[in-house]
Amino acid sequence: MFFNLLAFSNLSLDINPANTNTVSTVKIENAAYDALMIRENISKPVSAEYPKQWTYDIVMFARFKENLIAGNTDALLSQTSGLRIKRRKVGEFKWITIYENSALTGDVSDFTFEIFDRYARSNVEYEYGIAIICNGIESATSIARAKSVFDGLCVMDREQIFHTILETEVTVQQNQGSVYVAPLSSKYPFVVHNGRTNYASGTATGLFALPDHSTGEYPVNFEDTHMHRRNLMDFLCNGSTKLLKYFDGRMWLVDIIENPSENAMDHKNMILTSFEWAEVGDCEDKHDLYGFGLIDAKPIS
Amino acid sequence: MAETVLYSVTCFDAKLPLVFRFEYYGNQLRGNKLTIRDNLTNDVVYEKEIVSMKNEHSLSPDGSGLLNGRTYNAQLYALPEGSPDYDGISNQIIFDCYSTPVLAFKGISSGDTIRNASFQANIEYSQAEGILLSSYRLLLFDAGQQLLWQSPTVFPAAPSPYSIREMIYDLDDNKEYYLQCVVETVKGIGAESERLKIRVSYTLPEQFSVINAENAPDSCAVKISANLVLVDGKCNNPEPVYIGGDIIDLTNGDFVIYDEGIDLQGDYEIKLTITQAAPYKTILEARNTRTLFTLKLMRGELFGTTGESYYFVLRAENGKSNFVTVSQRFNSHSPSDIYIVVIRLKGHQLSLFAYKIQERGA
Repeated sequence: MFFNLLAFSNLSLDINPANTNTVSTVKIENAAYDALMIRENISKPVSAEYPKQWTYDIVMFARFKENLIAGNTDALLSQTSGLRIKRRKVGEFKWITIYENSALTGDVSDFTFEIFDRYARSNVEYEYGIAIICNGIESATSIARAKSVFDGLCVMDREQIFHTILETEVTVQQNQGSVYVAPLSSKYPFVVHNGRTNYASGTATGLFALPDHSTGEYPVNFEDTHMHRRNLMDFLCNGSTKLLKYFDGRMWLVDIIENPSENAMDHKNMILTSFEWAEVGDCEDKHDLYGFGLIDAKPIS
Repeated sequence: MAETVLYSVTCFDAKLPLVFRFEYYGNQLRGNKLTIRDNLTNDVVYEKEIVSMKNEHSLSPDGSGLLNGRTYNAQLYALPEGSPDYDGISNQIIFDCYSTPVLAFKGISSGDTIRNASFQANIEYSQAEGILLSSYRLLLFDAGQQLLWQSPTVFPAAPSPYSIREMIYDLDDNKEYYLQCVVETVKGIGAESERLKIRVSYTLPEQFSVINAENAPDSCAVKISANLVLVDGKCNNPEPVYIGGDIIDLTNGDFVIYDEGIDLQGDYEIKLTITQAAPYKTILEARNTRTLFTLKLMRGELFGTTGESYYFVLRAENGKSNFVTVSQRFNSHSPSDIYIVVIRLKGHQLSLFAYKIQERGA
């Protein structure tokens, strides 16, 4: 009778098991195993089906094809001669390749990496795809989505980033290179458009200080931030093309022009850094990003 | 005498209609006359007076008498309202007539399926009078014929006949596209190819979703990482026995332990496909620093039933007592039966499901 209670009503002496959610070892025996899979996403209904492809939530998937490998390394290494990480806005067609490795060593480390896409606008949802290259031909892309959101203002290149959320301001002017001529015989002037110039320029201002990474807050005392501002000044004046990003989604590929300056605001330790900039390319254009040395992957189309 | 200015026409296809436009700086017009002469012989090829108040003269390909490959000159006579005679003669313009180029996609037909994410379009350019190609562009449209992408304008240096080759990348799987080529000759005649319908469907032996993306606000960036998983098992037998090359035989006392790369910290699902399961013996054991639960195939004659039943039992160690759950039961069992067993932990609730299948599917 006791046995029946266990077998048919799913009851046991304890209603719930104690702490079975921290598994680090799985041992199998006393059967012939065709497959063993562990996944962390249990949002789908229970079924006897196995996923047809490796998905991100799979922890291990052993198929016992003459080996005990339960990761995805074996097939990756055997099929791939290169890989690309690409990005596009959700809903758009064309990708920008932001990372490429076409000289794989055949080692697992080729596929274990973490990169930062610094050229993403704020408030925009992007798709990132990893494209496998087999025999020089790019095959299917698997995709992950992320919405880029940050606060404040940042100016960066591929090596350095200076970010602040304090006292930020960006002013913009669109320059189209036109002049007008006021003739003697007409009430209205003639407007002459010389060339195709059409670019933005402006001023960016912010209070740049190093945040306390443990708390995420900025120090109240700004006295010790002069080295950070010194590095920022060196960065602004190094002559390289930079990316200027604002929290609202605006972004420009810029060169710093004129002379960056520091001015104390209401208090001698609260120093604002200002710099003038001019747009020198299209920050969404992979040819421009490559041409200015901000991405490695040479555009192929 | 008012001035008449006939706008220039550089080049056109004589088999297509054309409208000559002009300016007339005089009274309202009631008509005009266009005279076209062969530029080599000065013989009149076309001369027609039309009644129209518009400053234009439409040339129909049927009655124009113009031939492709020839050069002509044209002049226009304005006929103002209230005047019996033509009011002067326009400037003379010289133009060429050439056939519209023909563009044909090679190696692919409308509706064909492309088995890759990239595709090299191969288009053959030909022009009856041998006029050289000046430039071309490729246009890619979606299934709704909305423009998705266009290539930069390419100015080829290859001799005629041209074979236009352009690579198209990033085609999505299971999508339909239209491809079109637009060209312009050195004489200024433009042409468009048909919109070629292509389907894209590609398959790989394996596709690995090894990418993960997450917002990194402190870096004003998006962090992209690959989830290459390194999990390798250890067998107590240095030479494990495999059946048919893809089933490991652990019925002979061998066992396999996976203890590297597994670090479950929350909900999870363990799914296994087994055959030749030995009743009453532990098939699977999950551990951290201690045994968490075991899975066994059980046999019993259950209350209220006749004959033996088979079912899986999951037993979690809870210190002094146990948590036990069972799967649905099966009325028969043979060593060759194949079972798929699913163990799920959601919250703190363990559940167990079992399926008996006819053929291996994993």
